[in-house]
Amino acid sequence: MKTLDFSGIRNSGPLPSSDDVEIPSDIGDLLEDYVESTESMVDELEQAALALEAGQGCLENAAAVRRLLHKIKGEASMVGFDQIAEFCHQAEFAFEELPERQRPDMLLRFKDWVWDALQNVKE
Amino acid sequence: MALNILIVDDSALTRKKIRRIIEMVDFEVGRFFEAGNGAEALKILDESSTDLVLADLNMPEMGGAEMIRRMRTNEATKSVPVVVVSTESNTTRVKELLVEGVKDYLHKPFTPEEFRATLQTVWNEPDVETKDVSEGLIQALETMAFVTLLPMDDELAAPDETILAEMDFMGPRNGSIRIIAGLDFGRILAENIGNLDNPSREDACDALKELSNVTCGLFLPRLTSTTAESFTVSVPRLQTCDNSSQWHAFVEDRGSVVSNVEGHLVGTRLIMKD
Repeated sequence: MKTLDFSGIRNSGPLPSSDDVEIPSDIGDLLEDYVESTESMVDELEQAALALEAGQGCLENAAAVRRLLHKIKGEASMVGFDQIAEFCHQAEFAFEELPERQRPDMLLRFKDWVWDALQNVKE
Repeated sequence: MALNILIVDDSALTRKKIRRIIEMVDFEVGRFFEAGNGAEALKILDESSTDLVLADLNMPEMGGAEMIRRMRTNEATKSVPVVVVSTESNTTRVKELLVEGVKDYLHKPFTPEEFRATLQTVWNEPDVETKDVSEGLIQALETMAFVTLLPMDDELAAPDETILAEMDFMGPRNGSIRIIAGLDFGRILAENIGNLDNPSREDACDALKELSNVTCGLFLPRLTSTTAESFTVSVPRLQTCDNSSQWHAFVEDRGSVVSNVEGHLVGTRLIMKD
C-alpha cells in the first residue's frame, strides 16, 4: 500500500490526493459497513468542530473529538485502510499541538478529506 | 471444546471484523455474544455462560478497565479470561490491566495467527514456578513482531551503537527488566511500528522504549502472577552505550538474546532485587 504524507494536516501544508486511498484487497462486504460507519463519525466530528469554533462546551467537545478521531482510526486500521488510519494518527497529533483557535479548521479539513476519500471508495 | 466468546467493542464494524478473524481460526466456537460497552457486557456475562471475553478499553458509558474490575469482584465472573483488544500498545493502562489478571493483549488489527497464539496463552500458560527465566524472556521477545528466533552464531556482530531501555517494577517482588539492542534494530522498529521513513536516532530510541513497554507488559504478569496481585512499573529510562561494552556483556548470556530475520540482535535481561 502506497505511503501517503499527511504531515500537512499539522502545519497547514498540502495533503495528498484523496484519490490515492487504496481499498484493502480483503475487505469484502465490510466495505459498505466501513463507509457508512465512518461517514457517520466524520459527520459527528464536523458538528463537534463547529461547536468548538463557536466556543460551546469546549472541554466536552474536545473529548468528543479525541474519541471520534480514535474511533475512526481504530475502524480504519481494523479493516485495513491504513492510509486513513495514518491520517487520523496525524490529526490526533495536530489536535494536541495546535492552538485552540486553529483546531476547528484543521478538523474541518480532515473531515473534508476523509469524506472525499470515502466517496471515491464508494465509486 | 466449543467456546462461547463475548466481544466487547463500541464499534459494530470492529465486532464484526473480530468475529470474521476468529472464524478463520480452526477451532470450534459455540456462541458469539456482542456488547457495545462494559455495562452491556456485564449484563450478558450475568445471563449467559461465557468462556472468553475480548474487550476494548475505550468505550462510552463503561470502558473495558472498569468492566474488568467489576468482573473481578463478582464470584461468577472473576475467573472468566479476558483478553484486551485495543490500539493502546504502550500505555501504562494496558500494563496495569495485564498485571491485574487480564490474560493477554491483542493489538488492533490482529491476524488469525495472533488470535491462535492468544488462545494458547490463555489456556496453556506456563508454570511460572518451574519455568526457566531465560526461556520466559525469549518467549516474551518472540511475541514481538519482527523478532524471529534464529540459531546463534559464534560471531556476534556488535552494533554501531548500543541503546537500552530499562523498566523497574515494585511490589511483592522487585526488580527491573532491561531491553538492549543496536541502534539499527531500533530504526527497523521505528520504520515498521511507527511507519516512519528515515527514522532519527530519537525515533529509534522511542521505538525501543515501546518494545520495552510491551515486552514488560507481557512478561511481568507471568513472572509475578503467583506471588503478586499488583505492582507498579516506572517510566522507562533510556540509556546509550557508545562503546558497545554493555552490549558485549549482555550478549555473553546467550539465553536472553535472540536475533531477528535480518540478523539484528535484541535481548532482555531480568534483574530481580529480592
